[in-house]
Amino acid sequence: MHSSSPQVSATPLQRSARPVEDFHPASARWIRRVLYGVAGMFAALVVLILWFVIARPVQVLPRISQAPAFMLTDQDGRWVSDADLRGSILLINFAHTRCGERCAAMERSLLTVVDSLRADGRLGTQVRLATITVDADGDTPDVLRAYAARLNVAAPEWIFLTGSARELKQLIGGEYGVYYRVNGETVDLVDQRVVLVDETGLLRAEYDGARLDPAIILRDIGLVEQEANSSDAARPIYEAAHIFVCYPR
Amino acid sequence: MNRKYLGYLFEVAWILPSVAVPIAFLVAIVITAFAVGIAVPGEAGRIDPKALNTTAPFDQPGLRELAPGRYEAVVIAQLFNFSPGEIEIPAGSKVTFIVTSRDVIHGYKIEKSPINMMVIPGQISRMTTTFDTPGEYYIYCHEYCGAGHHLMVGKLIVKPAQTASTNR
Repeated sequence: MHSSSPQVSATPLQRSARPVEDFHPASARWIRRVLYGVAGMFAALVVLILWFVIARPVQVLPRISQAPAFMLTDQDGRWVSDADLRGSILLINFAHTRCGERCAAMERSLLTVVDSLRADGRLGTQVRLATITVDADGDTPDVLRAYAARLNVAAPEWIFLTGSARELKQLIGGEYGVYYRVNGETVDLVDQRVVLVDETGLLRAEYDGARLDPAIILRDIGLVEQEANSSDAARPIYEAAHIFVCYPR
Repeated sequence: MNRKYLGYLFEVAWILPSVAVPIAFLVAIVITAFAVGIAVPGEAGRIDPKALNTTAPFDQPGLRELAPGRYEAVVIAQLFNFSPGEIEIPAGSKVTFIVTSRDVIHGYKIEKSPINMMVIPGQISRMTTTFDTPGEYYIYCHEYCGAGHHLMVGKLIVKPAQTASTNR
């Protein structure tokens, strides 16, 4: 650009001394202030997100998937579908009445959960339990009713469901992925599984039935209740907790 | 201070964030890794790699028929093989692969299928797909895992639906 006017070979000093019409020190200061403001807001946002993710002030349970649909018979011989059980949090386990000592730990833990929920008055209304049997031939509604009586639980709070062997295999094996073998009289429940379904029919948690901790189940039921009962204003915060996978540790 | 300085300020307005963003990410990763401990969210995806022999379902690795046409393959990847190394299913089966590693990071890739997973000790990788075409498919470890990495190969046999046996 100097080639066109070789006679003006200005030094940097001379150039800076040239008058500049549109220079306003105030606007430069203003731009600098905006820059600092943006940088500060950015840093504050990063700190806020880090705090939200690390301290987890809001915890949620993952929305694993839609819980599988079913239509089975309960211990009183009534048809019960998954849709009939919407509206309350559902704790489902897969077992059979002749399981005996192998399933005793799972049974004990569930009874502990039941006792605690019953003491709070939440059982049967907010939270219900369902046992789906893997033994279609052995566990008829009559057998299940006797079993429920032995555990001292009744229909609205804890239901026991049975169906045909094929239905049960498709539901428990195919949909829930719980492995069991039925060989005539012998039933081998290889996987002991307990699942938590929320009031809208979404699968929220899966537990190993053999190593069930009643405290963790009660905590998770509490988290699902808390989220379900949250106000509209708190919804975005719960959604943020889902996005940032703020699951309980 | 002149017009060029204003231009400089605008350049700074773009350059500084482009430096600050990676630094913020790095700080976030370092904090979550050392102060919090990065882990797969939820307990379902975690496992103690030293206790595989006593942790279900890895205490019994193999193919399990959950329901007709629905299978689950529980696989342990280790130096330098897969257990089970050979999986046999009838065509049309939907199979969920549940894979974890006993030692180092491995890979689990079945040719001509969408199954392509990283297998990390301490974590459980899951993936489900349906195999419709009969044939033999190689299963590769595609994450370099050591001297015998190139020998770490398994096989998936998809049998024609009628003659298939539902063993194990």
